[in-house]
Amino acid sequence: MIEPFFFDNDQLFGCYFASSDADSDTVVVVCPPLFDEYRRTYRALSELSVAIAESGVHAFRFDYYGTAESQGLLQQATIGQWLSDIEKAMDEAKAVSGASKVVLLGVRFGGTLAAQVRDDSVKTYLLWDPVTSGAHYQSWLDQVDDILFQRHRSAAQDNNVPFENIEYKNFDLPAALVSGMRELSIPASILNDPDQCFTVSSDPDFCETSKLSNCAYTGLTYDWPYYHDGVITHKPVLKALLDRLLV
Amino acid sequence: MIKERIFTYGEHQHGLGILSEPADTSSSPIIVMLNAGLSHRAEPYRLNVLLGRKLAELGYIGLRVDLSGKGDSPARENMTNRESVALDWSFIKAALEKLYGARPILIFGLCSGADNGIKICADDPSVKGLILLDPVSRQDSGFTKRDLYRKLTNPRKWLKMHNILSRRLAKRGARDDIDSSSTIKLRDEPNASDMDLCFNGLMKKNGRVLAVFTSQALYHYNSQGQFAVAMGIPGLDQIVEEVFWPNAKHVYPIEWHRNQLMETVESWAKSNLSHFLSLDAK
Repeated sequence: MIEPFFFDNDQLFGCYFASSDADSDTVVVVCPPLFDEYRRTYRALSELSVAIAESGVHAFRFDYYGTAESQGLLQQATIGQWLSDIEKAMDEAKAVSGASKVVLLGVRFGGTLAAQVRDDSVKTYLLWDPVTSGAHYQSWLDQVDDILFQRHRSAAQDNNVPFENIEYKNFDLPAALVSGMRELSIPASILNDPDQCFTVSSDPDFCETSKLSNCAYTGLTYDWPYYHDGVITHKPVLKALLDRLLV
Repeated sequence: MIKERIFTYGEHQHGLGILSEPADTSSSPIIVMLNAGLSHRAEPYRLNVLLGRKLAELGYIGLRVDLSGKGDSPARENMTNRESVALDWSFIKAALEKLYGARPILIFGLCSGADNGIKICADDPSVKGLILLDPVSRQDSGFTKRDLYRKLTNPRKWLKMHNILSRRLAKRGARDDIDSSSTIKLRDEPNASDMDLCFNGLMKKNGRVLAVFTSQALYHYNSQGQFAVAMGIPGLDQIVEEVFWPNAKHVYPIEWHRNQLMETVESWAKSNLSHFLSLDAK
């Protein structure tokens, strides 16, 4: 059963999924992706959290400050704030579940953020298509804006309507957030450590090129790097994450 | 200062939403924001969250809610979309009445959210207003002529005529496959009876409608004012405000367009608040 609530003085929104095993001492804290990737994976992460709880481990999802149901605007967000949000979410998850051990499950840039957190209670990092380089991610966000510009211009021509001279940005991000994102990467010491970290990738080349032994390609590929409307309910990825969690 | 709290509905209270409330809720009309397609209640691009909060600042109670099978609400088994939405609505309405008593209700929806809003409105007398983003529209007598003119005067179409013809010929053999996978076909649109019942009903209830059309609607809508005219209901144009933005895309991926949309909805909601307050809630 999902238990939604606001925490951190009502600044952050979270959902707790109680484990079917009341004695479970582990809680999975889901660090979601950002921007449109969150919309695309929201249902998948909701279903994954239910599956985690049904398999005997507590789960907790939350929204970073300035995103989704949490308070604030994206323009007010900083990397420091989001890292602090993960720590607050871990505290809340442990308090509500009674668990003492945490698994941080990070998706895309959520994985990048999760990998910065050092806490004795964190036993494992589970990463789904993690962004290994913030600088690369930032250039990808710029590429999304370029694609949106091209698509709007092309649509205006196809539809024979005047093209608007406006700023074609998916999100108008503050400079401090952009530079903060640029500077982040996943430390190799975490990514390469099979005892600490496991990565599930939808990129057929990722595991091989990054020479990770603790990495799985699920056999299905999709298009994170391109602007796309599709909602992702990627069952093989969810299964791979769940299987790894229950090892 | 607005407040936010969790909203649940359904047989087991598994349906989930978030309420944005003004400081004084004693007479506030309620705006229910439905899911857009498969997206969760906050989306697209957090539009429902930001708009819900702005509407609460104006004096409305804003509820963004996940219908069954969307976002955080579990799916119902063995039901059509229409049946599931109708059942969800009966629970949502009961839960709202328990919290606030009978109130005038408005429904906000994009795409399938607009479709569901029209279907709910057709059956529910307490729905007094609609904010529809890319709803279906009937074509008026001038639609085809305007559509043809737009195409014939488009230099890009002429330049690409060879490509267009080749593509159409290639697709002809696969026509059935194309139709069955089209986004439009996947929408569970309101039927003619839903449309008539909803908008005739709104006329009788002295309701109000804001309808915004983007480039997505060009296959059935190409002129501001067309929607009310094509419905053929005398006086409908007096209660329907139409906005036509052929440059904007269906889910508003550009922040500038989202801001423009929020300003438009806010302005409409502000100018109509006293009207909704004056309406009977039944």
